[in-house]
Amino acid sequence: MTAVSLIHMLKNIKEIESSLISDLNKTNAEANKKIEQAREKARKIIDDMMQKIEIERKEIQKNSEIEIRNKLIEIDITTQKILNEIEEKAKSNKDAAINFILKYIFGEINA
Amino acid sequence: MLEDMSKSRVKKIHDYIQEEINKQCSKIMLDAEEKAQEIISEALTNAKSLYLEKINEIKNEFDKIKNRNITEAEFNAKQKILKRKNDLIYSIFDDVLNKLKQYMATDTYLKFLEKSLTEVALNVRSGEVEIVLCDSDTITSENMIKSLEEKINHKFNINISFRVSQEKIKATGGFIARHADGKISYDYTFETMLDKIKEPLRPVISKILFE
Repeated sequence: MTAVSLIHMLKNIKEIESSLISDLNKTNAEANKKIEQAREKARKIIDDMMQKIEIERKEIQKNSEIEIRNKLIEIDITTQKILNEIEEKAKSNKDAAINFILKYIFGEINA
Repeated sequence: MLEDMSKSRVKKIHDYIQEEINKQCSKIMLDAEEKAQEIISEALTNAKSLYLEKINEIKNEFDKIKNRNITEAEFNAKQKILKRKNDLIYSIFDDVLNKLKQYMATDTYLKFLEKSLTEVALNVRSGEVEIVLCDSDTITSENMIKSLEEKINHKFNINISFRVSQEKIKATGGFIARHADGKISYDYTFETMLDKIKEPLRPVISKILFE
């Protein structure tokens, strides 16, 4: 092999190397892009989930408020019913209670 | 000839490197694909865990708020009922006070005087006791008190002397008895008696009224 042909060969090899390195770099860039896209998609998955959670939070809050309001109305109705019953009972037993106290004061009974 | 050989060698080298590079590129892309899948899969798992964790937290938070509101409302309702019951019970004592006025001119009131004066006499045992009647009492006389004094002394074999005071107290009925030494006094006015029995009788009256 002459020096000329050796130089020629090395030059060719150098060109090939450059071309192949370029291919490799392209592939690396493509791979990085794919990974970056996956990361972006992952961020979107989490963001979407956060939005979904927020929507559900509002729904849970709304349902809870409705439940509380209904329960408070129920308690109010029950309380009023009990108060009415109390008033009725007190009205019909008033004389018995007064007589009991009078008898107690006048020493006719001991409590 | 030499040039052909050189070309052939270069081609061999080129092909070899090209193949290696291709392999390398395929591996890089495969790894990237794998890594991308892994990232998405991890994100999906994290999102699912996050969802479960957050929804659980939110449910707990609103359950606490709900329970707090309900407990508070139930407590307030109980307080309201209790207050109304107490008001009704105490209003009965006011009614009793009004009713007691009607007893002033009856035998029942005389029996009350006798019973109360006996209690005073048995506590004091001897000496003079001043009886202060109330301003609304136009029935009870000095003679009536003296007659009760005699009856009590005789019945219990004691020596007590009741003296009706000129002083009058402002009350619906009853009297105040004061020992001569001024140290002991017994309040038998209706108002004081009712005040004294309000608390002890509250459970009984509650039972009569509401059961």
